Amino acid sequence: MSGPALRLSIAHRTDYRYASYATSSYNEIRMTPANSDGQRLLSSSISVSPNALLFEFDDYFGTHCYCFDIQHPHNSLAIAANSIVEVSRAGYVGKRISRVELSHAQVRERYYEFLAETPLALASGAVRDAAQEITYQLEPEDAIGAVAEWIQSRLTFGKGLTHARTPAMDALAVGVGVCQDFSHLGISMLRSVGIPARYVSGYLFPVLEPERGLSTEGESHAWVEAWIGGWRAFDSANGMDHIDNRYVKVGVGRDYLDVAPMNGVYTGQGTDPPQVSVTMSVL
Amino acid sequence: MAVGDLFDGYQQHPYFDEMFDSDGMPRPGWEMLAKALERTSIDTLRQRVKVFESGFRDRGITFAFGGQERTFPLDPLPRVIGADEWETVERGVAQRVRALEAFLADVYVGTADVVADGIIPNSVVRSSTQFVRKAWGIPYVNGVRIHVSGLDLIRDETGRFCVLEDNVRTPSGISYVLENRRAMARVLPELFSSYSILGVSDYPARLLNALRSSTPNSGSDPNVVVLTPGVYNSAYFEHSFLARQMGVYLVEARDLICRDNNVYMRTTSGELRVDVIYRRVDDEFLDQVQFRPDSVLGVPGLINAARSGRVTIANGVGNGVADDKLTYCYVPEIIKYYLGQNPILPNIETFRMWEPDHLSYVLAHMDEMVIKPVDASGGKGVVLGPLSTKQELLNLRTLIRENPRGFVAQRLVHFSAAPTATESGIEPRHVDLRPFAINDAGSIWVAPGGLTRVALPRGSMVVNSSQGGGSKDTWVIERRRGIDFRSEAKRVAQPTTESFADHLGMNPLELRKAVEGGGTGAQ
Repeated sequence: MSGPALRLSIAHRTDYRYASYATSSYNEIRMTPANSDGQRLLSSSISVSPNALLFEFDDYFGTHCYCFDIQHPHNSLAIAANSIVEVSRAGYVGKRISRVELSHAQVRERYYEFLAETPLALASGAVRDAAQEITYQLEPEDAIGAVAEWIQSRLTFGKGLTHARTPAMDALAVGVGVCQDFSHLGISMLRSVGIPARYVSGYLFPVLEPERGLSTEGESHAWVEAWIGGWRAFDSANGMDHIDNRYVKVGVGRDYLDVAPMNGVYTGQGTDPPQVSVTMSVL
Repeated sequence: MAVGDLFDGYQQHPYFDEMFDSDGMPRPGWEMLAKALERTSIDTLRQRVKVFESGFRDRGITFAFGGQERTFPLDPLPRVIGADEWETVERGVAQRVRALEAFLADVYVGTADVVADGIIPNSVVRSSTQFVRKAWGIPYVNGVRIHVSGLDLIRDETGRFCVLEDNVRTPSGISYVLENRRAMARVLPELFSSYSILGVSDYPARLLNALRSSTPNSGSDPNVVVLTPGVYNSAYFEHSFLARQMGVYLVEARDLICRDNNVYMRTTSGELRVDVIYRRVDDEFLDQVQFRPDSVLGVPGLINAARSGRVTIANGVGNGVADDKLTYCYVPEIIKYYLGQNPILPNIETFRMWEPDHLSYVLAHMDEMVIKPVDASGGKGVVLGPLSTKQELLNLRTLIRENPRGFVAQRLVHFSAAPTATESGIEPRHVDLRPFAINDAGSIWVAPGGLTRVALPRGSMVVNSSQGGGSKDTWVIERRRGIDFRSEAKRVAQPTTESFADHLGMNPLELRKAVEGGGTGAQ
């Protein structure tokens, strides 16, 4: 189902323009593809304009981060993250434990962090009830499918009505959302029925048949991993039961806030939302 | 009673009275106090209290209480701790700090073996609001994260010191300890003539030494600063006091800047690199990049500067996971796990509400328990079962059922009381003890005595300064060289005709040393 290995180059560009200028700016970026989990990171680099000294580290969840600061007046800030990654996924190869095994206290303890609610992934009483009902008596992997299906019937993909920090329940109320909303909703429902779930940040090559030499506008993307004996990924925003080689994982967290691609503060006057572009090419 | 007038008619505390034993005899060490105050009347004491309270107010030693600036009332009667009892406290505090250091290193730069080995549940560590994932991986070059600790101890019904709470974030109160000692020496000099009291004035020099030895940078003269939230903080006096005593800069967030992961201080003569920040700002306000973006008390970039190993933030970021009220329940096991020792200071019996049998027991016995919210400090939200109405307990029961992890319950300890000057004479009042310890990586030094807080209203068991408590100067009696303490104690317990000052044969120089606390001061 996953086809031959796919070698992708990713150019992720973020441009800020300040109304007048910023006098200082601090940023932390999480845009480097993981070098694990069916992915081989062949190269990666970050460049920042104005120039800044970069400092790298791996965070608590294992995501590779860069941070930098700029301490002189600047009216724009451009960040270019370029990477080449080879993806070769074999589909889900982990264990599949039973519903009963999943409910063991030991499992709940071990995966506590991905079972606890977070402000962005917090199921309302009604959504909990719905999750209970649709997953009743189902084995974990089937429960994931039921949740994904339920979400697709309630949420339509559409930009502009939600933003990255919109809680799942707000998006559900609107009925329209982007990949973050699909992910947060899925996470909150799975956790509410005792299936550990985590938020994945990454990229998606949007064309179903990636041909060598094809270059297209890609996107920052988010999907979900649920633990059923191993981490089993799915993408309800795209109706994908599995993730294939077009998915490039950067990192994981309890929700978006743990793994936001760009996080920072600046001193200066207001700015418009940044211009973001992701160009992905098949090498 | 075999002591002077001042204590005539004193109704000693029915559980553990700090001064008198069950036979009504002064305990070792206290006999001397009774003797020294023999000819002092309660009115004289009161008069003197007024003098030093106004002195405190003039010098700005105040805290905020109900929106007002108040002094922290100092009781004129000190609290005495005998040398052997103190040694237990000292060893117990050091042991606990050492174990909590190992725990913090394990969860922040290690592999959380303490969880893998089943000593403390993963969920307890990860559910703590004080477990700071953004602090994961920050190195502390000399291994110290708990540069300063201030554990809260009480003495139970048998007089045994127990740990009520750990406090390894930014414990405050040491300035009261130092100021109380100075005030007492000035206002009641006769007390100091009869005692050889271990000094506390070493504290600033010890703290400075510990901070300097935590520098991540080479160079012989590390630049240490004290970072304060500013003049509106209730502990501002202490921040400025410590900076002055250590001879280092007192800075606010706006004075600091992070550039290329170095931290600099803005001065009139340019920027000065900072090596160690003794911060008195809470984690969540410390760095707008990582924590609250609306903080006005933080320095953007500070966390990553620390992560890169260019600056040390003291106490450590994320230390709160170690003094979390849930973690507290496991500290005795944590001590055994890391140190292979039995705890020297026991915990108060505590019920873990997330364990069903504990929960049902607590719900059935709420009127006998002390119930504390996990995420509050300063005594806020603490419910004393026996003093609560049925309705209050019913409301609390609902809250506990909704969020069992949000509370812990403890046996109500009738903790000790010490003679205290009140409107109606000398009466017993409940006291706790907060010993301050400094870890400089080489050793853990516990300032002799620490802060005794006293619950001033009759019968009250709430000692927090923010809830109307007062304080007492706390004396640890020096063990005299060449004399076995036990035999000395026995002798003191006997009535004696000579004054103890004569008995000690103190010369004026020694007396001065006792008053000043001895040792070296800060530069």
